[in-house]
Amino acid sequence: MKAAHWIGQGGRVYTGPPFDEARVDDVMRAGVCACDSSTSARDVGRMMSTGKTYSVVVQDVETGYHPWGMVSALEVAAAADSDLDELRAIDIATTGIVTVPANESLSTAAKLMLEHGITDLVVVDRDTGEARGLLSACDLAAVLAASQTSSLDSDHAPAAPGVPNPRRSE
Amino acid sequence: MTAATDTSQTWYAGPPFDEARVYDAMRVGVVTCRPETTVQDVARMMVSYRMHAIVVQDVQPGSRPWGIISALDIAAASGSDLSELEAQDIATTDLVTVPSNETLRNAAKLMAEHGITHLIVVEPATDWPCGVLSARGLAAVLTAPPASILKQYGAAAVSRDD
Repeated sequence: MKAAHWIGQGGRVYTGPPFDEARVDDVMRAGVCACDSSTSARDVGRMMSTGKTYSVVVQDVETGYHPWGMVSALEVAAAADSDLDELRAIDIATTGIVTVPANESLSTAAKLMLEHGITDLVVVDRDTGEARGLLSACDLAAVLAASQTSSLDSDHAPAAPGVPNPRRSE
Repeated sequence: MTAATDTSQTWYAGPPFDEARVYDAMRVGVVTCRPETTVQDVARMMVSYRMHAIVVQDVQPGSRPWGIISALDIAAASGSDLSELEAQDIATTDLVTVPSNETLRNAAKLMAEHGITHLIVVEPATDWPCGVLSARGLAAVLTAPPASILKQYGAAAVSRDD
C-alpha cells in the first residue's frame, strides 16, 4: 500500500494511506468526549477545554449508549446569557447528529460534512451503532495535505514506509 | 491588568467572563496566506499550526484581510486537485471581525448570530487583524472555575482592576 508521506512540522503527523484509499477509521480521532443528557452546560464546556475538542457527544444509559445528540462549542458560547449550572446538555444539544460508519470512504465523509454544513461527524460502528470516534474537517485537511505533492516540495517523493494502521480490522 | 492567556491550556486563569474582553481569550496572531497560495499548502498550514481557520490576505502594504478558509472549505475541495486550486477560489469573503477590546459577551452574541466558530480579531485603532477567537476559547472562559477554586489549587486568577 502506498503511504502518504508528508509530515508537518509542529503539527500532527499523518502517515496513513492517501485520501482516495483511506477509510474513516484510518483518520478519525478514536474515542469520543461524551456526556449524559443531564450534564450541566458548564461541565460540557469544561470537557471541551480539557479534552481539546469542539464537540461533545450526548448519549444515555437508556438508549444503550447510542449517541443521539451533540453539543458544540458554538452552542455553549450561545448560552452565555443563561445560568450554565442550570442548563443541561439536553437543553442545548443538537439532535439528529450526523454519523458515519467507520469503514466509509473519506470522500463520502466530506460530502456528509458539506451537506449538513458541519465540521464534526460522529464515527459509529456499523454493526452496534456505538460511537467509536470523531472525524473533523481538520482531520480531512491533514490527509489532503499529505496526499498530494506541493509546490513547496523540492523533491516529490521521499521514501516513507507505509505504516499499517492497527485500528483497521481486515 | 491584562492576563497573558493561552487558550490551549487546560485552565483559563484570566478575568471572569463578565469582565473579560476578547484579548483575554483570543489566540494571539493570525496565520495568513496569499490569494494565490495553493489550497494544498493552505491545508498544510492548517495542520502545522493547528489552526481551524487561515486568513487570506494580500501582502501589499495597507491591504486588508479579505478572506478566510476553514477546514470545511478544504474538505469541500477534496474532489479536485488541491495543488491546482488557489486560496482565492475557495475562500469565504464576508469576514466577521471583532475589535480586540470588545466584551466577550458581545463576541459570543456575534458568533451565535452568524453561526460561526471563529472570529477574526482586529486591533481597534488600525482595524488590522491581530488574533483569532474561537468558540472553544470562549467556552473555556465561560466555564472556567471561579477564582476561589483556582486559589485552592495555587493558581492565581486575574481580575481586571482598570
